[in-house]
Amino acid sequence: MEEVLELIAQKLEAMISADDPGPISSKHKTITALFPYAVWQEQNGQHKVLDVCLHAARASKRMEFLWYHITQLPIAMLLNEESSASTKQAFILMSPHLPWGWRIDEHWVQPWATAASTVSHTEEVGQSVADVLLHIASYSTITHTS
Amino acid sequence: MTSAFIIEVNSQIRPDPNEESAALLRVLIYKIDSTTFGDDVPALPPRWTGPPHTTVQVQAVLYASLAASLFSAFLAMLGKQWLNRYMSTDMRGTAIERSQNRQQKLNGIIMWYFHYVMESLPLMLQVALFLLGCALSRYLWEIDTTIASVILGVTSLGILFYLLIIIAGAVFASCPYQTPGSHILRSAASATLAAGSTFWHAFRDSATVGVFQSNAEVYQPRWSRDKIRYFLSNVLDELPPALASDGAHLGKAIAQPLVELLHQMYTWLPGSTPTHGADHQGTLLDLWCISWILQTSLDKDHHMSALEHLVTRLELSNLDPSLAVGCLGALVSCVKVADGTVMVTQGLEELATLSAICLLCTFSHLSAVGPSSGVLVDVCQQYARVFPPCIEFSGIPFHHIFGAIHSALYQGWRNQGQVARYAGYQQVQWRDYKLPGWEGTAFIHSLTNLAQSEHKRRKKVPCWILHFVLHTLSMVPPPSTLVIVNCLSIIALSLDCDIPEIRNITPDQR
Repeated sequence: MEEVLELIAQKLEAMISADDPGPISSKHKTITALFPYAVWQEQNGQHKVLDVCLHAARASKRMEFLWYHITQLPIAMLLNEESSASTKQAFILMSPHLPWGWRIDEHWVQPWATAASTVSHTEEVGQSVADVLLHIASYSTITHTS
Repeated sequence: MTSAFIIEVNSQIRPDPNEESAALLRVLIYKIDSTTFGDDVPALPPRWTGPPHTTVQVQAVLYASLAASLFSAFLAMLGKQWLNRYMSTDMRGTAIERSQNRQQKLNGIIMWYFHYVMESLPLMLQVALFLLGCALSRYLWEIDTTIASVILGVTSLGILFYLLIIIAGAVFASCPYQTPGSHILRSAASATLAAGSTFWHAFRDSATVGVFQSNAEVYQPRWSRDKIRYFLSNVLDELPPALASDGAHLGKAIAQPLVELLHQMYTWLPGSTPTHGADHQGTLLDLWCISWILQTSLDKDHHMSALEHLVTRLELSNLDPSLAVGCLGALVSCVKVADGTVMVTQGLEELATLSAICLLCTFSHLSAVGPSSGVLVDVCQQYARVFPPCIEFSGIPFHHIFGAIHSALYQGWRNQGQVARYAGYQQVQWRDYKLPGWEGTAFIHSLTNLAQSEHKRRKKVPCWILHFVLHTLSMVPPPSTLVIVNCLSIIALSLDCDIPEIRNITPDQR
């Protein structure tokens, strides 16, 4: 398993470091499929896969980087009151790259806000929260409900 | 019967002592009384110089006929002995061991071309009869042409009838008068037509014909002496390189089928295929047994037992491709399609689920090891005949497995270039999927094989497999390590990583 994971990480890092964002964007579904496992690894104290996922999300120029299924399955299951701090932090760091206003609607604002208020503050977390707030502000439907 | 004629003719291939004695007696009587025979003066019998040439020929053919009859009788007795040995059942051992034993015998019969030997028996008797007819006709022709013509007529009629049934059997596959000759004639005709067609196309596209055609097109509109001269001059200039090029192509065209034929002949030889260890042989025998049961038995309980055994045998290397067809047949026999909806026949739910998971396992394995296998096309075609693309299957108990099969087989259509058939097929949804024990492991392993197959084709891993991975990795609590390994392997394949070979599931891991 470690061997396969290492291969995946190496491949993703190579794609991230490439000048062309095309290949990494074309693999967004694959990276989305990896994301729940990356969160799980993070919960077990292994940060590498989640870091690679986050780098991949940043390297992509597409705002709808994460596949819409992520809004329906894993985060909704992982983000509850019992979620660990690392899961919440992963979600906060990933949240600027979610398709706010398209798939991420007002029902996501409350769990996001709860998660944002509980994670430890870092510069990266602060930047992510600010980015998401701007996203929320730019979409009237979310702003109205919020 | 041949022996009687041999005895009859045999008297003519050596000197007859009675005839010689009679001649000497006639000479003796003549010496005593020269008026006894009138003007007919008896002479001493001529010196024996050997039997007449015709008699020797007839006797040789009769002996050949007798030998053929005796050899066929000998072979028939041996065949009886072989079949008795084959029919004998071992009363010891488990049902699986006895099935393996039976399968081993069946495989031996196929590998050693037993049916050809058995089919040669009547052929030898027919040859013996033909030889007898020929010998008899020739022998009687020397004695009396009227009697000989009766025998000739009957023999000719028999030959004509035999030729007619060979031709009828070769032309019409449904003709009940099938003989080995019909089969050979059909194969030969088919091969000749194919070779003729290839030759014609090669001839038409050859450089030599091209030289004549291109020059004829230039000079044809108005032939004159000068133009004919230029035509011939150009043709003579261009012909040698064209002939050299065609010669090289012709040589290659002749050599290639010869090499293939030699290779095929080598593979026909019993024992030319590599042998494996005893465990591997046992697995192979199991898979053959299961395939045989699925194809020959109509009993659902037999199908159930065979598939239960198959699903625990996920070491599918050197899998008999017809197993996938058998699994599809078992699945089809358990379900019915009405108004675009799949329904499982009451009481056959368990068998249907089992056959579905086995079909998925075998199909995915075949896709991974031989993506261009003709069996895959057959399975896709048979499946598409029963289950159209836009079919509703969410109501059946194993709808996730069925959905995966549906997606995989219509994906197979797309891979064959049948985009029209592939368009708009029903996608599988994973929202309520839960891994059902070790069957779930088999399931994810099949999906990994399918992802590997797509990777081999340099194509993207299908979305529905990535959906599954996302769903499975999102499960709380997380799935087993083996499932995670398979999920990560799919992700790695999707990212075009060259991953090491994914290990098959061992019973312990289940």
